[in-house]
Amino acid sequence: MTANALTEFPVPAPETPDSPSDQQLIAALNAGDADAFEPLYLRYRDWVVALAHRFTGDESLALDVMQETFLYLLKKFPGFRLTAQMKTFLYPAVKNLSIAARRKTSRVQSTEAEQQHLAQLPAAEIAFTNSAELSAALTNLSEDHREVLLLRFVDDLSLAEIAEAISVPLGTVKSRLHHALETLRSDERAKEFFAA
Amino acid sequence: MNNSDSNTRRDGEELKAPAKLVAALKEPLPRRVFVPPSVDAAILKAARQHFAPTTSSLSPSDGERAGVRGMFARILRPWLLWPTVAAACIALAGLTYFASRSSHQQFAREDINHDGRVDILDAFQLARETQSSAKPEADLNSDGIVDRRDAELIASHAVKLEKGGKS
Amino acid sequence: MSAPIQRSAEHRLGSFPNLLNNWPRRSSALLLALLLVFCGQLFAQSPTNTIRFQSVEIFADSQATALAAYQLEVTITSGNAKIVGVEGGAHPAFAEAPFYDPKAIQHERVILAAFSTQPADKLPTGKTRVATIHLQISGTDELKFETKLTTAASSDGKKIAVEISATEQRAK
Repeated sequence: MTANALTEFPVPAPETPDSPSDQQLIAALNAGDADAFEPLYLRYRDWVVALAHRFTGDESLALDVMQETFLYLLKKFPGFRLTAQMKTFLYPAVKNLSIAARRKTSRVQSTEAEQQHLAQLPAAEIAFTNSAELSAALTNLSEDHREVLLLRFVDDLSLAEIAEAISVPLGTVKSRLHHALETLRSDERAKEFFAA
Repeated sequence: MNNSDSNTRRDGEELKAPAKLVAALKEPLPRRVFVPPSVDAAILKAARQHFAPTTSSLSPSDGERAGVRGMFARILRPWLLWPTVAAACIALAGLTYFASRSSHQQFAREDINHDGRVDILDAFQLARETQSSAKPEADLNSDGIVDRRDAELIASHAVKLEKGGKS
Repeated sequence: MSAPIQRSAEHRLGSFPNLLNNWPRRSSALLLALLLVFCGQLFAQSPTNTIRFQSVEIFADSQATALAAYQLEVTITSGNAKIVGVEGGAHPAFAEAPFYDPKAIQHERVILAAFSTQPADKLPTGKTRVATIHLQISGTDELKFETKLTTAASSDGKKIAVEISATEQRAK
């Protein structure tokens, strides 16, 4: 039995070979074991909030989206079947919730100053990487190309998993990734990362 | 328009990124989004509520299948419900008391002084510890060093407003 | 082609022969009058459009104990002002602007916090100004605000009782 949530703040446990897999945790949740949710949540919490921040550029919105994502996941139980990587399943949920959150925020902003502030928010404010030049080069990519690039090389999804996550054919994923890499390769700001 | 020839061509080398680029993309950013413990608590509470068995979960067909024992369970259950809840609350309160005194209690990384809150006092304590001989394990900005910048990160989180600055 | 234009100009100005004859002086006077009317319109704003700026000084009184860290909230409750700037305090230990959420700017609530790892003899005691916030106030209604202490500590990290107050800075 876990202690009262008000005094115990969970931290992600370091993953070990003995850590239950996502499938095992999901099976336990489908069987009604509520304790299996916490490790699953902690395993993906930081990734989801970072992804939401990537989409929204706003930390408060990212937290809101993160909460909504996991509440959305909760509603899948019992009876949830994970047929791909957890990130593949969560990615479209985070993306769609982020878009909805940003739209909602822009609707409730009433003053002109606030709307101007919102209009000036990301992508200019999103630092994709620690290198300002690389971040600028990434910002220059189209959203579709950047999305595939980051999913592949930051989130470690396979091409097939990316195709499933963003609901496009595999060929389209390959094409976008190819164009993203070519664009970066020819961008002066990213040249050092392609130097031999 | 993608045809099979271009897809084949795009497999392999053309879709690989240089190691330096991948390393730069994967490098953790100094400022990560701080998830307040209250948010964790709210989500986990929602999870417990979602998976909690309801009082009507024992359907008439289940009771019949369980026989007499099931029938009594069905009849007695409402009578036991409130005393059970009261006993659980007392047990929970006791656990809370002992948990707060437990040395194995888990706290948020930013809760340096383990008072259950993340505020300026945590930043202050970390700043003092970095100046002393203590070796705190609180590399919050993942730069490999625990220094005043980690303390300042805690401070910036402590002053965050939840929903803009509207009162 | 210019002749008809001249004729129509003369016709238009024909009602003001003196004006036409004294063009340089009269035009200056006319221009000045127009300028004054324009300026009057510009500055004669209705009360609801009045904008002014006000500084509010935040004080912390730790009495005999040296103040090393504080965290407090300031909320504008009159609904007619927004926070536009935050400054540090009077004592060198808190001279730098405190930590605050940039999202507070252009809104009505801010959390301020600061700490100093200086030894106790280099920290303020008694009542000291720890921060100043700058407000943009619309209209002529009175400014109202609330302050609330979240926590404070002495140089050894122990929590201490501190009285927080705030006053509008008087114009010099």
